[in-house]
Amino acid sequence: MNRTIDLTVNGRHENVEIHDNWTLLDVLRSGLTMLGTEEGCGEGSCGSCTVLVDGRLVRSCLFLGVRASGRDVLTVEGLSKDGELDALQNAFVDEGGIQCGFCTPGFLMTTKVLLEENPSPTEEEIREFLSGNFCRCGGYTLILKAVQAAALAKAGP
Amino acid sequence: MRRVDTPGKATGAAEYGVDHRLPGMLVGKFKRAGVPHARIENIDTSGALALPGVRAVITGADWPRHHGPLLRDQPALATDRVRWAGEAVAAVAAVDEETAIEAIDRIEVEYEDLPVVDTVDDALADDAPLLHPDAELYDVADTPGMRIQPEPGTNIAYHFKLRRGDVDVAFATAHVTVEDTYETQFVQYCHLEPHVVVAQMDPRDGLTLWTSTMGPHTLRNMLADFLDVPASNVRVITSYVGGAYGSKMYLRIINPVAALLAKKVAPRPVRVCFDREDEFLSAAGRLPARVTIKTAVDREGRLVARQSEVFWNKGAYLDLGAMVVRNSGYVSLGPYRIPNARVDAYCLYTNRQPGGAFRALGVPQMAWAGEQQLDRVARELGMDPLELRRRNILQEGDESVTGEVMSAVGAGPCLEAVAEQLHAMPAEPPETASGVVGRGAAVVLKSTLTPTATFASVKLNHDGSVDLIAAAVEHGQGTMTALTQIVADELQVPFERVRFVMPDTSVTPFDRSSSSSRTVFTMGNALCDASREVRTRLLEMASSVLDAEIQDLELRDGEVLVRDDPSRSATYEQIIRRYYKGPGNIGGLGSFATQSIYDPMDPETAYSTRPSTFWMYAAAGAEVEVDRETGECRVRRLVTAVDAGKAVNPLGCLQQVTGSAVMGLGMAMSEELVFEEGRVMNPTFLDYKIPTTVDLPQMTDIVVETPHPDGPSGARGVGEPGVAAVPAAIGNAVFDATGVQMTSLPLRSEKIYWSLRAAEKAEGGS
Repeated sequence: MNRTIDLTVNGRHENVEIHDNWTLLDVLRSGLTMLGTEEGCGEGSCGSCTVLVDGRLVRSCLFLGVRASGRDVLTVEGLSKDGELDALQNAFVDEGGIQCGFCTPGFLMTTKVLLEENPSPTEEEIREFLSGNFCRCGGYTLILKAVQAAALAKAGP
Repeated sequence: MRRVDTPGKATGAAEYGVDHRLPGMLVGKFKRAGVPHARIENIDTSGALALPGVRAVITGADWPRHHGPLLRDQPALATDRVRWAGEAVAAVAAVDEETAIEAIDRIEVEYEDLPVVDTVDDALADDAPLLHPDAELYDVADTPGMRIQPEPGTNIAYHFKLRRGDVDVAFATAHVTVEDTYETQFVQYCHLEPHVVVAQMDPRDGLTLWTSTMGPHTLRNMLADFLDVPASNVRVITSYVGGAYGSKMYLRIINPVAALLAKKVAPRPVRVCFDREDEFLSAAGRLPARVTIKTAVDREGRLVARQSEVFWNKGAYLDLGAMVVRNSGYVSLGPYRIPNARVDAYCLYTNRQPGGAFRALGVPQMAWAGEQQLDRVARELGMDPLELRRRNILQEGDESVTGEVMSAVGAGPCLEAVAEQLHAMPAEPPETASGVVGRGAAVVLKSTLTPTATFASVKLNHDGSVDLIAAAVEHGQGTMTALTQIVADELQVPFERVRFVMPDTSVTPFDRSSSSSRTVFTMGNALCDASREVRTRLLEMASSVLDAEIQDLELRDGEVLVRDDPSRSATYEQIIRRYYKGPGNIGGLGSFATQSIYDPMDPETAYSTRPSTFWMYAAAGAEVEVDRETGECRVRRLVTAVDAGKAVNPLGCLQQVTGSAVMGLGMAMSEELVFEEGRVMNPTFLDYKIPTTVDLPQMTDIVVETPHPDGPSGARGVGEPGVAAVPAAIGNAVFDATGVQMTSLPLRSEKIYWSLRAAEKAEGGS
């Protein structure tokens, strides 16, 4: 271990020993044994490892771990509260937007930011925003439905 | 119905193969050859061995035994010869990733390059170098209905033959005869979870593997055979699989490497995980095919003869190649009545990575040829392509090309469902002045792995809950949910009270694999059988406890009811506790085996009255706009229908239909692993383009239901055939729009551009 960094992950303060060459994904998976964020390609293409850093979308496989020092990180594990799925997670489950599920954490984090920035996106806007996330099971139509359902749920009755 | 697995996947709690960790786990890495064809002159591992932190280094000499699911032609690590650039030549186990990578770098290999066999033509050339000069000496696995006999002095590893009627006479007298050659590309699986294995050797219990695989028992048996130990000395445990699509099966590179390293560093566990480059260079994938197909019809458009000659670029080792070639070979002429038929399909060794089974197992390649050619035939006849298909499509009681009398045929219903949706509205006009719009359709059938045996246990516990104990792997296809529904229904317990025990070869009974769209059908039947045993025992016990005749009892919602006397009803929990005067449980072991219904295929003619336990059917329809100036092709609409027999879980079936359609779309439009002299030129997601949300046409996904008499509640497999129908449907839409038929995949703009220019030139010149 080369150094220690302080950061906030899902609202909790963490003090992690890391190697200088670790990515944020390594910090999460190896440093904190938080295994919800997955590595699909390790080269920033597939979007599976997407997390939020200070509210902004980040490919954690490309984001150097030391840069996470002092930052506020949100991962898929931070979405549900007290074991209850949030509206977004429920929408993905109910609409069939999850198959093998390996891409799901990345899709959820990306969608969270989309709906914060644009609470009622058009289908075109959803497609554009999610275009950097791969789902090899090919479940895109159901993912789009899930995002639309989540937007509706958020807007309330 | 909520899927069993997806809430955990939405929170990040679901454990995949890559998530498995053990204390003291070492990092295993392998060294890729980097050259496609060479003799190994020397391997120097001293630099790696001297590196602090390295715990083991292995080469081919450590364990030269060969493996292979059909033909034992593949070494764990190359021994004297390298046959593809992604082949492993050495492997290391080290204390961490950095050390392992440096150790790999320090291994020096000296090669003497050999001439490269890259293409089908290279492999067939008279003076072609032979990849396996002693192929006929390899051990052959006993595979029913398949005679694997590499042809001495050639690169032909397997030759499939189908003979029916007399094609020569039929071609000579036909009204219209059309012959064309089509080609398809190498497609990578690209499952987002890479291949991963954690292996540990224990002096008493033997080898345990925690791995992401579709077939834990098959892997166990093959690994035991490879290591020359009893199967009981190998245990395979599987958690969620992050996508497989036919991959993550058999030994290939990763399993032998992990096992041999684990033997060397015992009892420490070692983890081998592919990176994305390994996935592109060293994993299997969809085999490329070159298909020359000929079709003849009479004046009414009735098929009188079809024949195909197929050359498969198999790569360095046979792997499952012969199975792909055979099972796609006997459906290569489509779901039609064809009185005279002939197929010759050849599996050729080349210096490329050995492709293998990939969702729809060779059928997309065959349909790309056969279904496109039908549209050419229709044009020659001046007939609507849909009408041509309607006149020939297999119906109840028709005989297939292998000689099977078909029943519960879903081909027609799928085609009609697609036709109705595709033509429900007129096409919008083209968006550009040089744009043209067209529509096309295709219909396919696919077999399933036959014969196979499947076993499963069901255990009713004294609290009224049920354990479903089955080696059925959840790799995204919804298996857990569908099987849970079947058991809950059979035993009349609430869905939530059934616990799915994850596959573990020491716990879950044998099953071949969760592949070939067979799980709901075969495992569903085995679980029904197991549940019936539990039910019988429960009723016997209830009869004793409630002092009632068995025929007066019925099971409903976790209770045994006495008809006509509701006051005497008791919960399952009460029955078990009263019977045993305390806790206990009721177990059932069920099975479903298909050897007795299977008719082994004749190796000379492919004659078989039942080659497949069940048939799958799908159809696709596409609307495209092609820019005649630039060749750009945009798929506007894609309609896909798959026959589920009976949809056990309708949303789960829909997921399979839409997912298979998108996979077919990727194969049609963009995906291609590009080879030059045996080397892969685009081993990254930046250069190998899979579809994302912006590539999606307007999609209509349809679940058709033609109940299968032998399936649980009429269900049949649904996961694969959609992939196969889509590329040909898009090809036919391009043909309809432009009048030019594309013969090779994928449909890149540039390729269409040049085809259009060539057609214009030919027209202008005539």
